[in-house]
Amino acid sequence: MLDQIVKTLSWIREKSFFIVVQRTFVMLMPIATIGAFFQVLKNGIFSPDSLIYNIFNFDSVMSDQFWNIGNAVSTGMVRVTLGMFGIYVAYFAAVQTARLYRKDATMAGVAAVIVITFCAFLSGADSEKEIQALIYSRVLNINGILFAIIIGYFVGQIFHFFGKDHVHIKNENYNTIRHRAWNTFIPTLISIVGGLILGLVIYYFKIKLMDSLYLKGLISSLHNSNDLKVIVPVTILATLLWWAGIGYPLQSMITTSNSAAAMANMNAALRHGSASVPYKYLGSSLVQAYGWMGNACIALSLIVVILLFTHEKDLEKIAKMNIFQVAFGSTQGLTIGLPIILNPLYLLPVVFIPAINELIAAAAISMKIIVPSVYPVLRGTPGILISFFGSNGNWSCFIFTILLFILDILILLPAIVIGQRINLELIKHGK
Amino acid sequence: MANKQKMIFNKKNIKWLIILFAILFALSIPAFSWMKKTNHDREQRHKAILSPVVMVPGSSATVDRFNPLIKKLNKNNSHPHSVLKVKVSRSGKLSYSGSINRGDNEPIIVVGFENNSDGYTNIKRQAGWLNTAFNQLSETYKFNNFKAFGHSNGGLIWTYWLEHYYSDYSSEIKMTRLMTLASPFNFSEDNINRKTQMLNEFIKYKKRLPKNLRVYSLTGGRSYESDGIVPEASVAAAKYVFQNQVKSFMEITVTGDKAGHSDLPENNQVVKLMKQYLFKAVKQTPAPALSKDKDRNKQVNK
Repeated sequence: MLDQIVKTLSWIREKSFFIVVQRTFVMLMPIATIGAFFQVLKNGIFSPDSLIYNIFNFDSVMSDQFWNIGNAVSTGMVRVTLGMFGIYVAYFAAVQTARLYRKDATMAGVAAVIVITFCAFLSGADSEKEIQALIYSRVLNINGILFAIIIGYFVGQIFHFFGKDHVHIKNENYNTIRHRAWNTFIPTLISIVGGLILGLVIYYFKIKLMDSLYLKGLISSLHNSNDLKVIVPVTILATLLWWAGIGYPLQSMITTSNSAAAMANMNAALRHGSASVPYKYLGSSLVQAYGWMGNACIALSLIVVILLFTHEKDLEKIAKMNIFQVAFGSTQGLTIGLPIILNPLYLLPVVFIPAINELIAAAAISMKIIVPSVYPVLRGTPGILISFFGSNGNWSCFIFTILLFILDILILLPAIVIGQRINLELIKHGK
Repeated sequence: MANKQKMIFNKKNIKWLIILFAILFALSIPAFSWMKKTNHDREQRHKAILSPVVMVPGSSATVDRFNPLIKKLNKNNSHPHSVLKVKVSRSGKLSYSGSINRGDNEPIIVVGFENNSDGYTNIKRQAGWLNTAFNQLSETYKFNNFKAFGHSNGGLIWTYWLEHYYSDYSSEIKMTRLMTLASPFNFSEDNINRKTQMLNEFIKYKKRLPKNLRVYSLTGGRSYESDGIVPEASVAAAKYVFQNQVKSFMEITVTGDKAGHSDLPENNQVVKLMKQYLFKAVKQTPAPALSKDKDRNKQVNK
């Protein structure tokens, strides 16, 4: 059976789209890792609602000047790395696709950048400050890279079908460059016209990409639900979308909720303790504390697995470089660097681990082994400690979470084994 | 070959994990005590039944401005309100006099300022000083709701505070009622078509006013147009700020004996109205959130 899985996954991996995805993400690993580092600084150190900020009392210890500088630098760096990640993804996706078919890759990349920035612009065109709308656009953000990768891939395909074959010349001169430019004219034009039509559709139908009411409704249904029949499917859907490159639903799902139900829980806990809350299986707290475990369930456990059980230097390096970021909740370096996102290998673990965690946690709550996590938890709290702090220091919650974490590691082990088999397979086929 | 190796434990890398978990462990110790303290505070605030009335006097007045008023309020009252007076210096230093009695759930806190001159610039400054005092008071007494009273410029200071500082507290502490007494929202201007800068700015930021607040605007009628100092139209301008913005907004005109601007705090009608509308403990459930005394939250959450 294992052989069958390896074969199927290798077959998927050899599809041009997934080849492009892999190459693009691996290429962009440094940017994602650096971006994640600054995100930790921004969310973990310079943010007044973060753990480190509060326990070291930066409100009074850190001077306003230092805070202003630190906040500006980290916010700015996050914006140009992770905030505009879609541009880089679209560029490299088009480059890699065109290169796959030996077409002129550079122009394909530029054409893809034009298309995606144009779509981002029209997607937020009715906002007052247009330039800002572009920079803050959710289309370009790392949480919405599915869109970018598709655009890059399609532009690359346009170059595949309409571009002339291109051989890289070492010493280009004026004439060869002019010739090259004319060769790319038709596919570039087609790409831009295609982008124009796509942009107009977005503009005309006022499509707010990555911002639809439907997604918001989904999240609030989870936040306010006390029903596992709702919570588990919604979690699966959100992690599936996250795997596919749309991270917004998951991102807002795992932040501390202020819903009426969460308030009621907390007020009850303040009065009579955590065991007697009205909504024992409340979605928001179940996901945050046990399901997603503040990124620990997938990202941190994966780092442990990679460091301990693989003997691949490159993978270990990526894991080591991201260990600090992941511990404080920024996983982009890892999810892009391995990659996890759009990697068929990780689809099943990503989709099912949080759901399994939630079911086990709910069972443990009903058996009164652990208590629901109802107290607000600060940003940047390490994932495996969320349930402990969220239950006002309940030790059985802590031990339970550690066990859950070890279970997640065990679930991920086969994925790594299969991954290595696939790599061998691919090397055998010379790809 | 690599195929066989894959499940072998990689000992070299275990040091990385040890470092990681050591850091997490080291962090979790201060985090644990921080959490215990915060949740304890939350619990205290949640259980608090204290609901003070915070009073701010007008220009040229000191923390003793309301002494006669408080005396009247406490007259024939089996549970007299205890009084705490807080004076804020120009540099923001607080000096206290009086105290809140144990068991008094509705004490009066008077906040006065060393620099009590008139003018919009100074009202803004005084709102900042009020915030310094309020922050300290909320930390010390951990109440989850309070009522506000402002005479003359005091009402304007409260309005400015509500629009610019209240959001730092609003998730934990609710202002349930605000009573302004002869507060000149349009200063000495008696024509509403000539709005002062202050009134324009109050209107500009009125969306920030809390939706659950009840506001009572009292004015004195010495003549048909004014209380002797402040034009009635200027007090009535409050409606452009509060009406349709807060839960309810009520305008009351007091006439007769002691209806002049400076006599109003001792006016028997005013005392009655205060007893009726301001002094009544309100049940409140606070929302949990972390308040910070700096404005960094606002900048971050843009």
